[in-house]
Amino acid sequence: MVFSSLIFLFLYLPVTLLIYYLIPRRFKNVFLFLISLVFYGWGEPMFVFLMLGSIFINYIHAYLIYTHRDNKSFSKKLVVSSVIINLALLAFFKYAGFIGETLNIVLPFLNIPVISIPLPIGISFYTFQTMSCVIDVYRGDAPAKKNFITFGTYVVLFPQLIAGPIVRYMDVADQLDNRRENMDQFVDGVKLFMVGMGKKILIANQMGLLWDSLRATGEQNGIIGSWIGIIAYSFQIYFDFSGYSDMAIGLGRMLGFEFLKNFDYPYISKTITEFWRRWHISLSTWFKEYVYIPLGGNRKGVPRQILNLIIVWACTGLWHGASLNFLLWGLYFGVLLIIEKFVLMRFLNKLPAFIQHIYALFLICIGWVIFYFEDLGQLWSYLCSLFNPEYGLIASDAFHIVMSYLPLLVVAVLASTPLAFKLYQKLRDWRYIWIPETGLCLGGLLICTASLVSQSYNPFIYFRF
Amino acid sequence: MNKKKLLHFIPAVVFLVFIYVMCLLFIFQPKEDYSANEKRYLEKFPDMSAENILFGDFDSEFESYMADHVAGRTFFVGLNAYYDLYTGRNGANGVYACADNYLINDPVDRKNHIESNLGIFSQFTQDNNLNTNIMIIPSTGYIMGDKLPANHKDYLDGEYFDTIEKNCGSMNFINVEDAFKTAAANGEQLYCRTDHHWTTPGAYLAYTEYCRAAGLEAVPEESYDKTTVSGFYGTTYSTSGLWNTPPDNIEFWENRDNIGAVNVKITEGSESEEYDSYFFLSHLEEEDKYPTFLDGNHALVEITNENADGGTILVIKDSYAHAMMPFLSENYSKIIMVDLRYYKAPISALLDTDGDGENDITDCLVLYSMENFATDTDIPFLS
Repeated sequence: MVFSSLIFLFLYLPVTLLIYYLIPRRFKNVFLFLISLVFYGWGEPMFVFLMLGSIFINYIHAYLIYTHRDNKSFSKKLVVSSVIINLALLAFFKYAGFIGETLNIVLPFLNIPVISIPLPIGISFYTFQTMSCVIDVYRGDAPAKKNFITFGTYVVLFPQLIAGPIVRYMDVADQLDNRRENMDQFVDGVKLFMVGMGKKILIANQMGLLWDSLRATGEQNGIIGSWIGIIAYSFQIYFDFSGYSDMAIGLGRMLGFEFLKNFDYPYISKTITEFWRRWHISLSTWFKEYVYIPLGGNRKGVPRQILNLIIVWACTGLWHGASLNFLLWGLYFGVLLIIEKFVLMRFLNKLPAFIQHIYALFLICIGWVIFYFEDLGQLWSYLCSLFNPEYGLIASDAFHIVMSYLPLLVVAVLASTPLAFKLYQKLRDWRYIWIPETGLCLGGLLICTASLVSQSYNPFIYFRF
Repeated sequence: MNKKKLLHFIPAVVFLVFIYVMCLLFIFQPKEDYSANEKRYLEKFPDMSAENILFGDFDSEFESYMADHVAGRTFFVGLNAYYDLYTGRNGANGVYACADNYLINDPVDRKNHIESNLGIFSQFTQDNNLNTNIMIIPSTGYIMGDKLPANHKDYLDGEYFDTIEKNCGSMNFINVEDAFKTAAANGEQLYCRTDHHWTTPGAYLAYTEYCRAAGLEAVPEESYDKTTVSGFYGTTYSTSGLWNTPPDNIEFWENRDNIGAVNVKITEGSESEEYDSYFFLSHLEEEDKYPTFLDGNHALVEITNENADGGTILVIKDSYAHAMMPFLSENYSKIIMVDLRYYKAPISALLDTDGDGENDITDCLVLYSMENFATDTDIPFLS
């Protein structure tokens, strides 16, 4: 199930909130656990069992590590075992096809049968969460949970289950047992949820339509047409993902949880290094904490640091998808970050801010081209179309499409900056702030619902009775 | 708790009231079976068996069910349409809101089937030794360009007509472009405002152009009694979701001399029924009134007119033809009208009316709207 759907908004959420606030405290986690399984199982009921299996194995590991925390060598073995199991699960369900295909290209004589397994939703997210738990317990950053349900709730908690943020165990370990829902937090949660839903439905979905219509005519859009296409995709992916994170954090608050923020206006970055501090923060943190630092980080000399960065970014790329272009995308950013760190940074800092922004946005957009096209041929031809003057600046059809989305593009640009947030900070103590807040909330609800409902509206023109 | 603080809870209260009201309405409101706007039956409640839930499509079926039965569905569709319109996306759902309350379909794709469809008809003409005229009616947006919003995609009908002119092979192309442009410039309403079809005056104009090209004498406009019916909401209205658009009028022209002389035989599969009028008045009760002409789309329709002098003509067409047939049947005693979207048997068999193995029909008219001719994928089944 996804948040931006009629079934979530008008059935799942009302029922969940009602029961959650009616039942006594001691049942709240059990209820969250069960209702989250419904949320997860709604698309693919069979994969619930896979997830439950993964949770159980990790629960046992974390529990044993915690109870044997004085026996370092035993608990180390347990951590290794848990990491291997988790990565094996991920490798099998997410990468088996990719690994098979790649091996067949490299070693064609092996003739490995390529299996295609449907990817269980959210497996990349919950596997990382369970790993974070086992490792945090091993490091002594947080205690393990005695109660299976409490641990299970941490993993399956529906707000963050299928698309993050990747909540680190040590950040919520305490909240799982000791949280007190309150009205202020609930109201903040509602507001953040509405902001996220607006980002997702009113901006991301529309930018997606713009990108789809421009992509349909491919390289014939002209240079500006192609650039606006990839810019639209950049907006789509940002508002989609950060909108989802906002909704997740908002829903968390409605239930009494505080999750860390996942996006911090990434498109106002001046460098790629800064971009990755602002983009999908929970994932970058995860890789930093559980891969980069354990590999030795920057403590073992420059060559080793460069190697560590390459490993981390190759993994980051592949985490996003089992395909060569994601690996390229990760390495692309890895290389850029290395160049910035060791060479470019001192020059960049001297440039006017304006130029720095152009520099960062240019590279980010190119990155999204690599991210989007799984077919390397299409990827290359789209990259070429960004610089190929053969079709002029912008073709007529592309121009008309872009013009009709112009108001929303302007909104997307403004919404990518902290402008609205700053304005809100200034106004939030104003007596009548609740009036625009309520107006936006109601307007947003109506228009988002209208957009969701319209997706089902299909006039059947040539219907025969 | 102080009053100021309570006021700050209002946005959350509004949110909760909204989702709970929508929830309760969805659960308890009586459900409709049929959507007249969409001309389709709405989703039924899905099969709740364990098998369907675990291994079937219960989830997506339930979501479709919910989308079809959510409270205020029509209102929300309209709200979304106006939101799109006022945030710059006129034509977001394929229909432009135009001046003078016209709702006009956006242009057909540059990638289309015009040339291949043309080739098929040309081959068919050659194979059956026919005397074929082809008329493609320009799209509304091309002729009514001055009504379109400032930002719209280009209607390339002019280019397409050039293509047709060049590639029509053994057929004779009757180009109505100039006649339509002139008439439109004179303020004649050739196209419906709320529908993708043309009007009776539009069809009549095409008829006179056809007669001129085929060397026939067109029946003068004065011979007809004209009836105007109001309250016409057609397909572009339904598609657009712009519910505040006023309805259009639709005209029906009837020649009194033909009363009692006309027979319309509609064949679907192996069943046929006969009627004595071109106009099926029961459709006037509906919002979409265009099917009043010849009862809408049917696979095979045979129209005979005892008063007409001419012979038999085969008409291969889309629904645009329905409004023109009352005129054409003034000049042909029999019209055999085929819709390739529904008629899948070989048409060449229709040409041999007495079954002696030779074609008895030699006249053929291919009549399509530009929109359909460019997008139709059933024409390749022509044989």
